[in-house]
Amino acid sequence: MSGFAVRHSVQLKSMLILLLGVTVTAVIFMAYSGYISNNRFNQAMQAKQARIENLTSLLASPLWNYDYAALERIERIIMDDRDILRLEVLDEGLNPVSVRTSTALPPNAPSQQIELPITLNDDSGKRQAGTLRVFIGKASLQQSLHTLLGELLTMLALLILVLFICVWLIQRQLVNRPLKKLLQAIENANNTRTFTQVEWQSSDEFGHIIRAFNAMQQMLSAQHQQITRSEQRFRALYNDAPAMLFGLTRDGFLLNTSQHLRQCLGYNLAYLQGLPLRELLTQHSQQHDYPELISNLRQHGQIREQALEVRTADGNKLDVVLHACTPAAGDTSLVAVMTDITHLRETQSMLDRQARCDSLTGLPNRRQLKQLLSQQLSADNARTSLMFIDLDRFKSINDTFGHSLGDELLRQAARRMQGCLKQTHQLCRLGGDEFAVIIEHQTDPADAVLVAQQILQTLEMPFALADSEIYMGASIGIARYPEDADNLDQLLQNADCAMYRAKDAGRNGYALYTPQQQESAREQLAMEHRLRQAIEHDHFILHYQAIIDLESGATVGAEALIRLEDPALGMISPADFIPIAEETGLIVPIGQWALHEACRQLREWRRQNPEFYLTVNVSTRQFQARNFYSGIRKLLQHYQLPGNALVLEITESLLMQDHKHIIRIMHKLAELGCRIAIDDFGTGYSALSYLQKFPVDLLKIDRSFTQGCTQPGPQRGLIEAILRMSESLGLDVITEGIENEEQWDYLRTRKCQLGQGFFFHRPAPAAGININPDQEIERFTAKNTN
Amino acid sequence: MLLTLLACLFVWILPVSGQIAHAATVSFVNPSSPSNPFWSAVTRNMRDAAKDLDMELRIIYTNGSRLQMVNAVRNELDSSDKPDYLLLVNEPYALSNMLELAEQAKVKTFTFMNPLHPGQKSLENAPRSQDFSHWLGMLLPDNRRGMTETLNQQLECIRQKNQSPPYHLLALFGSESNPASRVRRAALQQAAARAPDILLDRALYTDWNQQRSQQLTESYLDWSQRNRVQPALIWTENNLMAASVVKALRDKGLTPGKDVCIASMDVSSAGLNMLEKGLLSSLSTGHTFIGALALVILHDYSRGSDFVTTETPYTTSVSLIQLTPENAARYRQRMRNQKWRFDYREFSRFYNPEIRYSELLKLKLQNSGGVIN
Repeated sequence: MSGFAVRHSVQLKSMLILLLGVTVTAVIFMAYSGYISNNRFNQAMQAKQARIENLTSLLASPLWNYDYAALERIERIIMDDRDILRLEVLDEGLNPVSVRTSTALPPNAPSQQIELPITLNDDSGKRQAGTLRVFIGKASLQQSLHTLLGELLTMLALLILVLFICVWLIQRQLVNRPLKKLLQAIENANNTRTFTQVEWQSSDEFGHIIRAFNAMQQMLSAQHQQITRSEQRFRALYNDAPAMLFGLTRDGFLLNTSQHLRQCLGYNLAYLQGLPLRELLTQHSQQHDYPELISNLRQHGQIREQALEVRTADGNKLDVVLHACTPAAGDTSLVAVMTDITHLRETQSMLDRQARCDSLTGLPNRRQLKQLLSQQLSADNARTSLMFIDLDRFKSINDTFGHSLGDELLRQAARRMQGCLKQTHQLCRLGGDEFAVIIEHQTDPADAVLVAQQILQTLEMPFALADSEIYMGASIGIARYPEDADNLDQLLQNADCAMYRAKDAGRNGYALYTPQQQESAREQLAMEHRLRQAIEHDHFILHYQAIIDLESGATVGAEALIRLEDPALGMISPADFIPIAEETGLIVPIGQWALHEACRQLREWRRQNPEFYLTVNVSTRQFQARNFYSGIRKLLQHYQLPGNALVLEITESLLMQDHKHIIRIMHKLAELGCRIAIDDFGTGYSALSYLQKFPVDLLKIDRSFTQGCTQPGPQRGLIEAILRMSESLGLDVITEGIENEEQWDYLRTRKCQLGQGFFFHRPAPAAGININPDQEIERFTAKNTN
Repeated sequence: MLLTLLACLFVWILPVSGQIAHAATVSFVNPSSPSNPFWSAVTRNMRDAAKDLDMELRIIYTNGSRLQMVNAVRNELDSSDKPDYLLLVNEPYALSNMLELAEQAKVKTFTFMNPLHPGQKSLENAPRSQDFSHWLGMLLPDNRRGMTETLNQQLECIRQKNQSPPYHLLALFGSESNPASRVRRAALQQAAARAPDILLDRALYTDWNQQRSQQLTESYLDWSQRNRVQPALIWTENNLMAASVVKALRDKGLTPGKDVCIASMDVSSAGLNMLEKGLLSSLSTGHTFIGALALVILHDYSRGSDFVTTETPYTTSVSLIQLTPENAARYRQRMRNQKWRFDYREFSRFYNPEIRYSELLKLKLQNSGGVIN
């Protein structure tokens, strides 16, 4: 719109409307005037006729009575009307009696002829005396009519003229000026987005409109600012968001690429604007992904997670996922986002690798092993040997030197083992200190043995770690396919069996799988089942072995020893079920039961001998159990026992574990008054330093030392050393396995306070324990004297 | 004379009036002037009657003026010598005034010649009523019968002229305001309606004017010519009109009495002449005796013989006679010899109780005149 040169202005329109209105009014007015005039004409005509009729009646008598003078007078009266052109009086035979013609008007003037009967009404009744024929001229009436219409038309024309001028002035003054201002403001808003206020003060509709317009302008201005800010925000968001945003037409052309996209791809805006998406793709993606993409785009107007390869400006390839959708109904272009999944792909492959490989050594893990094996076994005429390798004593080393050293040890061991293998052999780490080797296409079983021997050799060499040399052996089990197993699981299980066999056979060796190994494993399972049954049906019993004051021979306490009395097999030795209980974790409930039962029995005994105490074996797993301490406390409370009535026997291996936790529990137990004894002292990898760290009260010297103590030798030296050390550390010592008097005597001379063994008492049920110290003394004294 | 005395005695003893002892005085308010031939004849006959009946008749001419009529009555009644009876001719717009004056003056009144005008309906039964107790009644010519006879005479005339019916008739009457004219006109119209061969074209008033009569006749003739009508019969109310008709016919080239049969009323010398010459076909007459007959009736009344008891109440009609060319000469002769004079005592029921006023005149006329219809 340029200026205000509006082609069809309101003014013109209103003038036209006015013109139309005036025309219609004029037409109506003319019609009405015509109608009125016509009526008037007719009325005038009728009035004339009426007058003539009235006069006609006057004619009757003169006509009838031949009073022509009177007739003439009346005729003259009638003729006084100058519109009457002609008058004819006819007698009853319609013969003209008199004819008169007006001289004022031409005889051929338009006229209307009327004929009136001249009726005589006298005493002899009514009769027609004749007829009056009159020609009434319309000229004067029409003249007056025309004059009237002319005046009316003139008035109308004047009225229209005045009306037009008034409306024009009104338009110009009242409408055009405010409209002009309004238009100016609207143009400003359109062109420059400046929402100016219109200055106009009036109380009419324009005043209202302009006030409303100003309010609207104000609102628009605020909205515009808001929208501008919002648009800037969204633009910034669009460009700066770490997402590759762009618009996409349905024909696959790029629009409005975001800054992030441009940065990621390295192209500029001008290049990308209107570029076919196809041009961005790699050759591969153009061929494989683009057809589906463009098809989806055209058919569905959306793209869902389409994986693409995009080439960047510097020639690199990006793996992306493209997602595009129509933001609002009716939009022709789509909003698209490309997500760079290159890193994701890398991460995924890494995770894949991690899932398949051991993180520590980089070797395939158990899962991968199974997969590899599965592949091997599925091949026709597959001949494969599987070797399970368990590093001996690794657990102790790990416990002793810490995990990091253990990990390093594992890495080095793996490297050494890898060095023994051919290309076709696959070393895997199954977890912990367990490894496996797949030997493919083996034709001779001896190959596997050879490999096993090489591995044993290489592992026997010391590992230089933490400034010391660590020695470590391995137990290797070998199972072959298809000789030893039909399937993968069986092969795994059998290799495992063989490995345990090797371990049982004294470690640092290898064993080939035999069916007997399978039998042994089955027994182990049966034992586990029996243990569960025993826990459920209370098949355990406690036997006790008295602890003797070696000086006096008095019984001062007893060691609780668990036995399993199976309903079918009878009494089962702890040596048979404790390792399995340890291995399966059943040791925890069994140990709890044992503590419970021991405390109950102890309470009974202490009624007779208030100084009597019991030592109870606590496994490492039991000790580490979460509720161990609170369980002990509750037991003591329940049976109203003092803490010192209970001695908890632990193995040295426990002290190798998580020091802080163990020490905390031990201190708490010490607060209760409980004493801690180290069982089988001297048989493990004892580091004597822990005797200082841990609140240990008692040492139990293993029977293996006792057996040789009567003879000079290393065992005797050890006992003496232990006894001396205990003395200096203030620890009590219980010597186990005293089987004869000599040993007793020797130990007494060496100031060993306490002892237990077959010489005094074999382990027996509670009823078999004589807790009266005096009686015991007597018995041993008698034995001595005997 | 003896009888007169006896009668006087008889009357005297009656409680009616003491005036009867002397000759009854009658004032006749003449509507016309002494120059009017008709009324002159009437007056003459009345004088004859007064003489015969020994009555004192005073005649006051009023020249056709109603005002004069009323004044005449007032003067008569106001005078010290007021009459015993007032004899009036009905003149519309004057009669009721005159009657009222007479009523106030307690003077007996009798009217004759002109019947009541249609506008005088209030007076139709007024004679001897409470308001007009002194109005004794009216004596009128029997126009109906007269007209019928005249038309018959006319028909007879025209039939001799070899004309075929219908016979077109023009009738010219005196004045619309004249009750007699009106009554005669009505009578003529009725008679014409009754006569199957006669077609009354016009019944026009001439205002007793000769010139007017001639004009109207000429107009009629023009009209008849225009309308292809053969004029056959013309009737006029008096002889003057008849003369005008004759003149007009002649002017139009027609022969009176030959092409057109003309009848007229009344008898004048001129009229008689025309009759004799055959210009007129008939003249009806007898009207001039009605005044005299009225005096007879008053005479009889004054003598105690009230016409009302024997005749039609209040109003008595008198039959007329027709003169034709055949009897015209005789009539003229009688007129000329002055012999045509009745002894009016013969008309009096005082003297002749058996007679009937209405028929007697015609009879007397016919007998005395030798006229036989």
